[in-house]
Amino acid sequence: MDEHGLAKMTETVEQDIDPTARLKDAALRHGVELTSEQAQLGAEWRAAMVSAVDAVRGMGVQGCEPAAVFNPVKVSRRRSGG
Amino acid sequence: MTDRNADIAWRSIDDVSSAIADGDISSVQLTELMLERIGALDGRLGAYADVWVDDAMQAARAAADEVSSGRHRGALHGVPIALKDLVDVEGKVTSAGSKVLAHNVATRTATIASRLMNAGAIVLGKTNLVEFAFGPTGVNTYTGTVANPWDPERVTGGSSSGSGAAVAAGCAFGAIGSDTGGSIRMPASICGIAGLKPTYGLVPRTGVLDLSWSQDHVGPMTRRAIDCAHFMNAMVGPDGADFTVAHGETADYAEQIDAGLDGLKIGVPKPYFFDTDIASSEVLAAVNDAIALIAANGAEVVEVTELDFVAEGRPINMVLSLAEAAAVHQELMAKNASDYTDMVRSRMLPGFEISAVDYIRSQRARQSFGQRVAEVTAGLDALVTPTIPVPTPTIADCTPNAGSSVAPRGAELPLFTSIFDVTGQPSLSVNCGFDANGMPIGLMITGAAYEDAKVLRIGHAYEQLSGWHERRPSIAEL
Repeated sequence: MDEHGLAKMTETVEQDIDPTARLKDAALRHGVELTSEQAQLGAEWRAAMVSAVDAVRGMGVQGCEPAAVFNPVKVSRRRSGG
Repeated sequence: MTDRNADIAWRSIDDVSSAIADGDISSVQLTELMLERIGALDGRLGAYADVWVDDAMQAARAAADEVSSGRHRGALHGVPIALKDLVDVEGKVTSAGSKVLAHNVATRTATIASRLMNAGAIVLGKTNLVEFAFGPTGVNTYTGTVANPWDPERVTGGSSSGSGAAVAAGCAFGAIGSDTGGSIRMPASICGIAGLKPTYGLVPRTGVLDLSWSQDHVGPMTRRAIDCAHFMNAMVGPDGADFTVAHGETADYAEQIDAGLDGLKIGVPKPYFFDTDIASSEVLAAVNDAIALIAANGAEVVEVTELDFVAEGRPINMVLSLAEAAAVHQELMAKNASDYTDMVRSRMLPGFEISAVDYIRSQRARQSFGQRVAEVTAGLDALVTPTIPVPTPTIADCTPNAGSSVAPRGAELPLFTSIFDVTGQPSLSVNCGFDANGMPIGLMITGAAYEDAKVLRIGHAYEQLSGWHERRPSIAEL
């Protein structure tokens, strides 16, 4: 399948998704059990998230690594008697 | 309350600090005055989540005793302030404005709270906020929504809603806020005060509840830019616990604040902030007046057209905020999903669907975005823009209707502020006028990373020229 075909299929799949069910499943995978009403209310915000993720996917990021914020913990060694 | 006392409530930290040092007023009198004002006004505003009368008076007496014995710790000695209710103080509840943490008693004191208290500040209590600091308008359907002192029917902006209202109403000389998408600068703008989001990595977040740790900034909200400088002097620097805090020497943020605008080159980024239909004509008129005043008083003002990509900051801010908030809240929400308000739970939930790949891509995009902004703005001392693009909406407009979690208004508030949470640059909002409804309008001044002192200098110079910061809301005149 060419790139265009794959994109088209992805688009179709996205359109077929029930956003409420999708959100409920995603939350459950993280241990968050939602009522149908809670999932439905959350789904009202899902479109904004999908749109933001799509926008970021369209940005060039090659060669741009975020700075790692990691400082090894220093351990002071005690001298042994010998 | 006498006129003299009422006037003292509006003075700068410099003024009251000198009065305390000279023995003209004591920290006990100042604290009593603030507590009296809170008692008279906060029933209408709801700015405070908790007021610590006994603790505040005890600290005020200790501060007064020190002054009597010849010890004066500096600008904040004996000055009453407030903390946003996501800052830990040992033995006190940190609720974050949520039922989920209503009984969460802190077992440690946040670094910034300790530092402010060590500088002699008197903590009056904790201020209300948007639940878990996750929202731009100030609406909180659990604690109740803080009313704006300029018009109680309108929002304060969020999430540091109580801090904004308390300072604007003369119920604290300053307060702590936090800013992930604009939560210091939006309420500062809408409440007509000064609010600084410091450079990311200057102020330790140890003991401050996370929302999106790679974008969370903690900073001061005061009535004047110079008062923010005094807070910064007390708060910045590594604490050995927050490893995102840059090491090294820190500046004196008040030292150069009177240096004026001469020799400064200030950019006006036309794309997105000015040349689109995002900002209202009313807001742009006030901001353009402010820019003209700055240009007429020593600064070179230049148009910046190359920031035409700056809207990319919005989706980066959103993906990072949602993914990190989901990570922060996963355990709490697994146990207490029903105790979150519908509004905030609903906004957080899509974060659980963001993949690790998309999160990492967003961090990479953020790095690229910050580099491009830095390249375009190299040679400039600051950018000036509106803080918020639109006039202040009402609380009713920002509250979802039954059966929905989306309000008709409010989403447009952080469109400008959130850009600089992504880049981590210092960004200050100061009052630059009022709209047709009598609501304050904010001017946002954004500098290069670690140039916080210069941003405060520009804000201070503008305040001295314009005088807008001297206006007081009528509700606060006792």
